[in-house]
Amino acid sequence: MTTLSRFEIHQPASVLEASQMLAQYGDDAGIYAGGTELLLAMKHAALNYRHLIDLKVILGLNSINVRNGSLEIGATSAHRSIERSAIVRQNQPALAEMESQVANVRVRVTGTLGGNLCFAEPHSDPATLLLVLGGTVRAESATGAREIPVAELIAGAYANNFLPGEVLTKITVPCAKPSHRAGYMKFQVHERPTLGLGLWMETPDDGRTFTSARVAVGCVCPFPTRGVEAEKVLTGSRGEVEKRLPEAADLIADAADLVDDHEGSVEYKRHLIHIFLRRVFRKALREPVS
Amino acid sequence: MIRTYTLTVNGYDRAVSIAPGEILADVLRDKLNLTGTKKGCNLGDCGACTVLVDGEPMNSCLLLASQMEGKQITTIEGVAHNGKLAPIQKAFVEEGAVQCGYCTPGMILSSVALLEKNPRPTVQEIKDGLAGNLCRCTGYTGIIRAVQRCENYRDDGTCAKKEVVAENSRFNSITLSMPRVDAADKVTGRAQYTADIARSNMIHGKILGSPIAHGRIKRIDVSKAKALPGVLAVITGADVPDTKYGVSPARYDEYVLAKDKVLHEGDNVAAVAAVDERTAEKALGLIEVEYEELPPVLDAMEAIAEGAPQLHERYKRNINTVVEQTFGDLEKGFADSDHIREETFIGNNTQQQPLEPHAAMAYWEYDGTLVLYTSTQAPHYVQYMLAHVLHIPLGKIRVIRPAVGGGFGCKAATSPLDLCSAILSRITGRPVRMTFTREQMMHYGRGRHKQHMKMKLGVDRDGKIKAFQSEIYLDGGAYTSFGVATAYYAGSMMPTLYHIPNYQYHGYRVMTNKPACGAFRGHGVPQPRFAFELLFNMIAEDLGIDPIEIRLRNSMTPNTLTVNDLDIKSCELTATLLAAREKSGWKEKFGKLPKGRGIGIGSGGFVSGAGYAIYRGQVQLSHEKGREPFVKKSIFPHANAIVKVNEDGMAVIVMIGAAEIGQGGETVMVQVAAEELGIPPSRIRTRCEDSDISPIDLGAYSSRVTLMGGNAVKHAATMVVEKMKPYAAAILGCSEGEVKLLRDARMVVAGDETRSVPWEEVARKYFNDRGPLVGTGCYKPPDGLGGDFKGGTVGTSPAYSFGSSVCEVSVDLETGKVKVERFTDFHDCGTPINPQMVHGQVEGSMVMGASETVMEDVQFDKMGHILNPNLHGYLMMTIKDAPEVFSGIVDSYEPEGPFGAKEIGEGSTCTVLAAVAHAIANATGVWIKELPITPERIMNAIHAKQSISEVVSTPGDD
Repeated sequence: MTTLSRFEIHQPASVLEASQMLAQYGDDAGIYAGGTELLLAMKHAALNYRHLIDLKVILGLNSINVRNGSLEIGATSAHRSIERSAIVRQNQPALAEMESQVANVRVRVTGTLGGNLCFAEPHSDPATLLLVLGGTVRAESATGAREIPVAELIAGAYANNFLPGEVLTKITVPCAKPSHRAGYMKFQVHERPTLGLGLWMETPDDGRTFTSARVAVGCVCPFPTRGVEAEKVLTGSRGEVEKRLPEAADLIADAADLVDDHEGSVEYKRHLIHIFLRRVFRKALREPVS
Repeated sequence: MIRTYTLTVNGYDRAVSIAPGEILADVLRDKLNLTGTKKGCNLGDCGACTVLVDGEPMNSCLLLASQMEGKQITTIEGVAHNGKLAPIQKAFVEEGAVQCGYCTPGMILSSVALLEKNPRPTVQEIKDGLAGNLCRCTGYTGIIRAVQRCENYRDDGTCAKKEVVAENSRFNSITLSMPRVDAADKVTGRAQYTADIARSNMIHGKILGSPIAHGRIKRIDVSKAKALPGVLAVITGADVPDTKYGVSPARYDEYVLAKDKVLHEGDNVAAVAAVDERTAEKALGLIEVEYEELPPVLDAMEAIAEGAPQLHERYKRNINTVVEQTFGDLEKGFADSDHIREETFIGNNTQQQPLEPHAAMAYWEYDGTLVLYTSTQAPHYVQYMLAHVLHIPLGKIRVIRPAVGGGFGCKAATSPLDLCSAILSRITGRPVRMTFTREQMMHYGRGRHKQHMKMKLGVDRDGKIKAFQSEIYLDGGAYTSFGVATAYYAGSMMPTLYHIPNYQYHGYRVMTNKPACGAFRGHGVPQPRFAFELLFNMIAEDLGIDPIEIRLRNSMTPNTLTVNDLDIKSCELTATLLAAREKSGWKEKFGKLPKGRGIGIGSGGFVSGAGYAIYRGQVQLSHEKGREPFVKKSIFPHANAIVKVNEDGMAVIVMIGAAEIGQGGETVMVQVAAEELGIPPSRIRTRCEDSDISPIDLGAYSSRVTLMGGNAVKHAATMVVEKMKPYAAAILGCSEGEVKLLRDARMVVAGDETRSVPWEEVARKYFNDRGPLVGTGCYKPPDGLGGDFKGGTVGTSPAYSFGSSVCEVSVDLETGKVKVERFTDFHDCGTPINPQMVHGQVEGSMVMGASETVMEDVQFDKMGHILNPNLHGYLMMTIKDAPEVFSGIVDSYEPEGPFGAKEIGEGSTCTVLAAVAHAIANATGVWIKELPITPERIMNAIHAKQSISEVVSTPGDD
């Protein structure tokens, strides 16, 4: 299709009003928070909302702050503003760097982090990294507010776990600490990555030993997936961890529901996980990757 | 609910009625008439619709117009001020960053946003800033150059571009890198493409495509669609003529709309005309079609098997074209060989993907003349085919070709839009405009045939070729289109590069339930050339001969009749090989690079215009004539020109139907006319777009415009000069024979140049005495081209181009990812009329060819549905992938060409695939014989080789 079906567009003055609108129109309503994915889906008639609620007009919903040791990023912050934010660069450089590599500049200027997470596009970068950084999102509605870990937000490809009337208002990401190491890398032959891999580790002694780790893979599977079993073998001395990277890679691949598609076979995607786990490990330690 | 919004566009507040759901790109184009904002994909993939919103670049196809109040929107029309180009626009014009111009507005706006924050960006910063703005013509090279040098074009800059002069001092306007004549229009958004043109009372048409790849139409019910308010016409197969059409006259096999069977996904089933696009799309959804599904056959090798599903009754075992040719004594040739190697190669189904989707707009005059605006490479063939299908005289059809946003072969045939818009306009009595979506373009297809190629090459111990045997199955898709010629080209061009004494070619074009394949840049040749060149490199390796050396030992020489009777005149292949070897540092690199880095070589070349027209006989309605016997000469001239001098002598209009599709054809015509007339190019304009004004030229295909169009224009200009001479003699007081034309717009007395008269004064004198000063000229290829065997005409040409590319790559040996780093290319294009445009063609070819080699592929599921029918699934190189390109031109002169010129645009594609594939083999140690050479294929090959060597090296084996 080249044209969109007609709908009404609403400009709520507050989150509360947006939530009431969502509750009122139910399945007929969707949130417009940039539109780089939403309008595509509507052009394909994959989504047919009769009401769009423009979150971008709500003042203050695109602010970026640090509070209680965490970054608080307003839901309608564009990828580009996160990438450029001095606060983000200083407090969670892995996030700023990942954002600087999302798609292309036109998408980053228009698309928002909140919209990206809600849409749950399997090839998106942010969710995979936020999974390992311990990100949470705040969902607000007329009846209250709750914090949802990113891991529990995503229900599947293009599906999230919001309740009716809930609006994503901000994303909270713990600030990096000197004992943290984190990185995100992707494999791509084009803008759409074939694989995304995020790794976070805690090291009390500057990379000699690792006391805990989180790892997640995206793009190769319907939704970003934590390698919980892999995380267990990614602790110990550096030597031990490095030796167990292949084992961890297999555990990640086992945890993810790898998809055989025109971007590559399951075997190749498993192979890429091996290669990129080693690379992202080095990258997180700020060493040359290959 | 429609309401009025105030949009601030290019500094002005504009009140616009907008319904929620209207997209900014459409509002800018349709309601504010700012058509400089282009729609290339409508899905945020191509960047052609980029506008600035509060200074930031955004895809206007993914913005809701209603939400843009209070924001500053800048379109391409807002970049120049008071008719003065902005520095970035000047840079694009001067640095050769513009070809078809369709990506240009988006590229410039992205550049403006980048330069605003970072006036002196590095190449990497430019690539980041322009990432995702796709270009299919320039290879991004000229664009990067323009952004880098933008500073030089600021008014306060120290060095505005220096005056360009002809590289060869014998000429004034030839070998001159002047900017394209249409560049300023293209950088400002003024250039009008078909979809930008609206007539009053115009309505919109859409085509319904088949959802299945193979089936019988059991029932169509259009009543609901017809009843929808705003719908003016709905047509199906029952409403279109019974006349089939196509390209090759022997195989017209397409109906305007399917009458009985659908043969591929997207096959044309019905068409609608309605008051707006939205209503037309809605109506498509209301058409009920019941299909009896038939099993599809999707692989050429399966389609030829007994019992496979049959597409067309007339093509038994789905074999559409058979070519069986043997030249010389193949058996003896192989018997005389010291080394023989046989390999099988598989190509890929790639598509042209010009940035501008196909478009057409038709209306009928009251006298019964059909006027068709269309985005085409070959206006005359469209005219011919409309006459054929609609049963009206050719002379009653006026074809107008507006600016064309690239073609590369997919716009060389008459499209369903041309035919449906004409039919819908006839029914409704209103102008009808139609465009393809990107997905429809991919379903329409006409891309490169996937070829299955078995090749056997025999050489002596010095590497001299003794015999060559090639067997090719071409996967043609559902219709013939250009395919007969494709099957012949895949064989006939092989003996043009090297001396091949004994040669056999068997080619079989096979029908499958996929979009029809056609003529894609290098028509039929790039894949077999890739296969041959790779096989040649394998043989060189077997024999321990350097791959460039083995080419030099076999290299084609001038004035040779090939084994298949092609008449080669100028040929500097050897010079291109030597220059590429020297400039690339081949000897220091080949075999000496570290693991993961590689260098490779490929040569190639192409015709400078097909020796024969596509249809036989005279220009006339095709069903008025029987099948005419073939004679080995052209019945009518392939290129025809009128050169008309304005009454004041200060301007000259060149009229020729040659299609400007982005390649620069019109600029070449201006330069040829200027040189021949002895006046500066700035005094010359073209009128090439309108068949009522410009005489027939067969079009922009088979790389024919420079040579054939150029010759016609040159002859017309000569006639003007000859007509002026008696008048100059009268003014100068000398004899006609003493009049000499200088290149600076003067006519003088030979031997005494102080006695001179301005050119325009002579022209005025002529007009005062005789009326209009007009010259006409035409060009027919030489008679008798080609051998006396079936298919002997395909591959004939007045001249051939030659070239060699060295490619350097790095390969990530852990993932298989290839980075194409650099090309060093030298070409023999005869005299370069405009060297900057020659380099532009080469730069574009290198990137397009490299992209085809490593990533492009139309992919299908088991039922024949395209898996990647858009530009985020169909991968093409972006600016981030763009390699460095060095393009060099070797000295050459083609006696048959205007001022010694021949083609460049297609031959330059033919070198690339093998050069890239060879470089990858050199970097990885594995030969990959199937395209595209994806990371996964590379890894599989590396792993396979490792496991073989592990087996071989297992202790105890010996």
